[in-house]
Amino acid sequence: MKKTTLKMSLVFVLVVSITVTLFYLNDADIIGDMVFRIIPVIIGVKFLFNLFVRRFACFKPYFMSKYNIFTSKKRYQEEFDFSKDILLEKFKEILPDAGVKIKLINKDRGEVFAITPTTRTSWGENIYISLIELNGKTMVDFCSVCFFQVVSWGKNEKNYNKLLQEFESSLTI
Amino acid sequence: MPIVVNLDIMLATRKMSLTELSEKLGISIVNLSILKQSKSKAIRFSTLESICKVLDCQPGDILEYKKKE
Repeated sequence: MKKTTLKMSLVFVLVVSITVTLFYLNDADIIGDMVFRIIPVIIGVKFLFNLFVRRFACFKPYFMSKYNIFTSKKRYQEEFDFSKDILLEKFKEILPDAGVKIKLINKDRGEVFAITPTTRTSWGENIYISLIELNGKTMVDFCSVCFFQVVSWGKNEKNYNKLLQEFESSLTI
Repeated sequence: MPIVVNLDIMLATRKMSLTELSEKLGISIVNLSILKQSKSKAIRFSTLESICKVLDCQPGDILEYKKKE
């Protein structure tokens, strides 16, 4: 079973379970009333928490975790015929052109952390890029994460395509 | 790629460093480094013109076509 399908199924089961629970608890008793109030609060708090911590690179494992089913992730790996240092400098140059704000660049670890701003259609995505150099070539591990969304609706793919496009056009000197 | 950029040869002939050329052209060292390694996709006429002006050479001194063996 594909990861996305499994995740969607889990979320579906969770939503159905909550709905069924609410349905049975809703017979004018106190618990049902409390659940109706508590669940939106929990969701709201989780959303605000994610919104706040998304700016910090140290929360990468939290957002990338496979158990975090409320974040939509898309990972791409590609090999580039450039050294790690050149690619890091290139990402520094092209990410702002792709409408992404760089939060952290770690040259020693070969990591880039950037976020896309909140727009009318998106709350923003986190972008994690890791570079591993092997025999003069560099393996780029790109991951785009919607911080509080089960389905990305193509936003993660769009981020990757935009980055590739900017990279290609930046090779015209 | 069959098109080879001989920028390093020209720089050595003119006794100029890549950093110096980068400052004179206003192009980042990274981009010049990519160009020097012949890994760029294309070169703008304006860039070629600036390089020729600074290095006092012809486009043919920088670009060379080599047949694949």
